[in-house]
Amino acid sequence: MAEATDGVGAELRQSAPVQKWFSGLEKHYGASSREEEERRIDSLRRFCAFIESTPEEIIKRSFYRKKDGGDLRISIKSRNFMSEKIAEFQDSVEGSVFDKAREGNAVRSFLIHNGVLMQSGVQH
Amino acid sequence: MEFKEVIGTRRSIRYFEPDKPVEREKIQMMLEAARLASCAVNAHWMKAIVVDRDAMSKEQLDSLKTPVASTALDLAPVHIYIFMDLSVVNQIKGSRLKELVDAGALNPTHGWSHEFVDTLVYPQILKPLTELDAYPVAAAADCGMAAGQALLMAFDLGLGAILNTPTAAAVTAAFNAPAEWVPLWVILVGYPAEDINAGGQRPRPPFEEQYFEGTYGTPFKRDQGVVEQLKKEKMIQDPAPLPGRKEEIKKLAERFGLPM
Repeated sequence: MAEATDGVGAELRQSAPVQKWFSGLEKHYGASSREEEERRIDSLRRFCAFIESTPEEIIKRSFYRKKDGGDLRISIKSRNFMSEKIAEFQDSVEGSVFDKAREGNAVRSFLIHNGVLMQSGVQH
Repeated sequence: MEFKEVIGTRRSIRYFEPDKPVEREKIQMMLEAARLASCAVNAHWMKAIVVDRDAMSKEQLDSLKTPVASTALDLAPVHIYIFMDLSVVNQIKGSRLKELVDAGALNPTHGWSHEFVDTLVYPQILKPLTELDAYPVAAAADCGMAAGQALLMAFDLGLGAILNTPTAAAVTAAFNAPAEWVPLWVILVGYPAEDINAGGQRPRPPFEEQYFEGTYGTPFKRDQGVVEQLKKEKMIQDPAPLPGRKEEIKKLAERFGLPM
């Protein structure tokens, strides 16, 4: 896996959910280029700033356990919230519909490989 | 396509050519296949509403989407919403069974008569059945058989299809379906944007774990000669993932703007 070039990116890359994300991508599609990884991290970094959360916080709020314990569950409320925020985030990106979709899909991919099933619908 | 190859070729298609129209007669053929499915007491619980995706308003289409089921709804040009009509048994009151008697399908050789249907089958079996909690399960099983035949017909006609589960309340509202029609599934139909092999035949549990002979615990012995024959006749096909499948998915993701 390539080293991130800037401090924020390097820090993000070390976070457990980002590691899980990249590991999932590699397992499913094979190794990504350094450029692709940097682009994905950059999209996630911008989304984190957009909703003022860290990757860990995003994943943590996506799951819950009932008060009496039991299995981890996906929070539908949180998933709907994230789905809306991702749509807002990609709308805020300047560029073509492809550029916007790429930004939003990087974040969706981050959630998906951390176990949050999320679909985007056709983007273009 | 031969029957065995149709069975072997059917798999859930999740990527459709969004702008390639599906011929109306092919949709009718799918419905005709559903109509001929085996059905308990000839009730025919399955009802369907065929919807052209592009005829739906954006609001209508969006109302059917959830974060976990939106991509295929967007891609498939035709949606066939499948319902089970729980009112049908008490509407027909055994009349379709009597049609089977008249047609020579249910015969006195097996104890059947109009009188039997009128005095026993409907009032003492079918009507009480509709009041049981298990009734919708029985009805859904029959709808599943009908939907399965429609799916097979789609593949015989060179189409792709998938059975999806939409949000029931949204379906009822979107298509003004009667209250007694319970939404079950949507068959999404279109020409595949992925290769018709869709990455290969899907993994299945071992044959001997599923089927038994004589008694539970004695697996039905799988004859490899039969397996080879079915391979030759294209019912058993190369298993997924076929070479190049991941690359194909990457290209589809790029084409349609989907997350990876």
